[in-house]
Amino acid sequence: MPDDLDRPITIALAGNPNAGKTTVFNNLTGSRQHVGNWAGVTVEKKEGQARYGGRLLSVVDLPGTYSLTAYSAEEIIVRDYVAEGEADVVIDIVDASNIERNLYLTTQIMELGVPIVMALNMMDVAEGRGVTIDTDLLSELLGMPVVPMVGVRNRGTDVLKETVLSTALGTARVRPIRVNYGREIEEEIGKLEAALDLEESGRAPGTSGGLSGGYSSRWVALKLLEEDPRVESDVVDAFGPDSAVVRTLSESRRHLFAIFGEDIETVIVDNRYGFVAGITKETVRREFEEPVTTSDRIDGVLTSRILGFPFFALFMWLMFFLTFFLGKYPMHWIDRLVRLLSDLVASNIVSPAWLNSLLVNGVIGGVGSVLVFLPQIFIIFICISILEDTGYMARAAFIMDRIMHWLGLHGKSFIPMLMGFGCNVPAVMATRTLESEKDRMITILVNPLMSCTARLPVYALFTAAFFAANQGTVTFSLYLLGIILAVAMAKLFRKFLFPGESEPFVMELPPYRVPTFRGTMIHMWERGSLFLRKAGTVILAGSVVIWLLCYLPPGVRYGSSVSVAGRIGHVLEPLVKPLGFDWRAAVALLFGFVAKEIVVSTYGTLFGVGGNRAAISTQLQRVFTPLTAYGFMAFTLIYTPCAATLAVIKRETGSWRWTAFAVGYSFALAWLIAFMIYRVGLLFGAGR
Amino acid sequence: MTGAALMPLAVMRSGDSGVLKDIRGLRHHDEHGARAGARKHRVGNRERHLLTTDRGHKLEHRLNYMGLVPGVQVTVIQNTAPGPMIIAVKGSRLCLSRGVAIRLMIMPDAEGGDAR
Repeated sequence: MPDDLDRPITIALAGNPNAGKTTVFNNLTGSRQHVGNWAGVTVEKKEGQARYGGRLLSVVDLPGTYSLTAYSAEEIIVRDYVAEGEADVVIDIVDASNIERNLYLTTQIMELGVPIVMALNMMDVAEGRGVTIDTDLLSELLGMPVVPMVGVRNRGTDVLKETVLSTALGTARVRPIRVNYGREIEEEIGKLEAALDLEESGRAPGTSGGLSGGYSSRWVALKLLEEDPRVESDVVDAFGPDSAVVRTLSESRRHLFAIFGEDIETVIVDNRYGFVAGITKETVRREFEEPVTTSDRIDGVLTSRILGFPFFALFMWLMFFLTFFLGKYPMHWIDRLVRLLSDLVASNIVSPAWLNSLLVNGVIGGVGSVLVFLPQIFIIFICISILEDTGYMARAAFIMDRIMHWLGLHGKSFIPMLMGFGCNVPAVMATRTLESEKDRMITILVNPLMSCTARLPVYALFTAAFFAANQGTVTFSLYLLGIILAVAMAKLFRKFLFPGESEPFVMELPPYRVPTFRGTMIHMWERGSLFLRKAGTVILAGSVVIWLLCYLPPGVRYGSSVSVAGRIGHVLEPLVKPLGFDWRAAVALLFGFVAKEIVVSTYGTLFGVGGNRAAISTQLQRVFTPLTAYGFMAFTLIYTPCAATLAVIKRETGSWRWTAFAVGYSFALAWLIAFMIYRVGLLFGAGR
Repeated sequence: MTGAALMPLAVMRSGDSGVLKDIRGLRHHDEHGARAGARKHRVGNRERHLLTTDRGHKLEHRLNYMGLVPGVQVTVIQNTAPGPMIIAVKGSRLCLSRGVAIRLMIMPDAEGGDAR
């Protein structure tokens, strides 16, 4: 009993995806949140804090699941966490407008035998559909408190906290209900429980402590009958393949199969749904049948064969338009600010000279060139947040599914690919929504080919210098090149590296919603701040290293041909000569590894003209031709993901092998394409 | 349309509805539980001891817990081939690829009677 006033009360949030769990989490914790990972897996773990009645509440947001099978990392996380008793109370967030399907998960959580409080969310949507729910009766029938809520309006949050507190302190009456599976199955469950308890004699009765986690015997017995692979495997490992439990299990299965003539799990699932149906029949009243909702009507247009894709294209165009044209203004302001800061530091911190250089050239030069892209990144993430919060993202995945499928990918791969145009770091993280490992890997590997905003300054610089009349077209051609290569590589990877069927496409289409300003801002911030944090640390460190290489040996002109950086460039020059590049290009590309924007500032350094774009332009025209310039831009597009992206790839794939592969293949591809551009171009007499 | 015929969901048209009767081709019955011992099988990344083989239940489970269980009422919201379908199940909307839809066998509701 958590009656020790100092100990925080731990609350876990469970529920279906799209039931408004995140909104409730935000309502409970406000901005006091922390995002991390569940141990050993690449699933996001969100924790936060709340206060109520003088007590501290520690809130953990469990992954959204529809069930508690053993077939996905998310489900395993939820059931392990709940069973282990880490949480004092579990809040089951149920979508009132979708109650039957949501209650399926509820029954499973109930079977884990923990104190539950139901947060019956989206009451407004239910009301809008003419659905009324007798929450008192529901509470009685399920044996748990039910708190009606409207998460998006922050209604019911205090009542929820109150209820959770009293449940945790034991002052609320909670009587757990047991789903009855029928006489035959209950008999076998009883036998299995007895067998399990026998094996466990010596341990606390009613729990299978020999197995890891605090699962109740009844739960284990049920899962065994359902042929849950994980529980089965744990039981066999714990007690041995010839133990009494296993023998009883085989007997039970044979017996039940003989009676029912089909898989027991089907019967069990049927019973669960039957239980749920019975409850909804008693407690849910529909005033009128609304077979076609407003959402459906909107979908009739937005996902229709004729208008669906054009609308989709329109929304995509709008997004890019906002990002690039709207974003230009704040971009210029930040640019001027950075320059101001640079001048300020340069004139005020004059000695020691190396410090002056480190700050001005290294830190401000390096980090500043990246900061300039903040507005565009945030704009793109606002757009994506709006698309998600309105529910349109699911429709986009639906529309793109066919194309994605043809590419050997999953419809859901579309979203990370889209985000890649903003920044690859959160895009790679967004691949978590893909359930199939193969789909995920392929999406992660080709994602860097989506031209992120970091490459824009390189394009801007070079197109201004060499293709002044056609800047827009040339830039667009590079984006297109990236997409074409992504398609080609995806197909190649699917065929040779990850053969097999793509995960079958089954996805829920949540009803359209009007997004809240607060919600959208929180989502935008979640992603944008990721970029800031990763980039901030990696790019800062990288900038210092770059500075060092350009500064040493002491006494040379910063970034000259005889500095360490210059020397490295000369060593690498033979590698890039066949592409028509010189030693400076080698250095720029090398430093571009840290962040692709740095290619531009590196050139400024190497030419000794600092941030003066016009001067850089002129200098570039001396060492590049339009042909080689295009090849250089293509190389920048394709070669190795930036350091921050690689760090995320390593984290998401959990493997150095694949991260190295990402570097290797993209490098090889970049070289090949740049080579072809140069040589083929020369054949056509296009340059030098 | 004879009352006894089951239709694959994939061929039903927008506005049609029916009851899901069977999910085809996802499992095969074998001697259930007749084996008393355990064998090593791959589950995820590890070798584990299992009493039965994992018979491709993952998809079926997913369909189940998203609401597609035999006996449930299904309405087609949109079916414009090619491309995935949108259906209404238990009050929510799901979209399914054709490869999945073709395996869901539906007993269509009688013609001319809208469930209202």
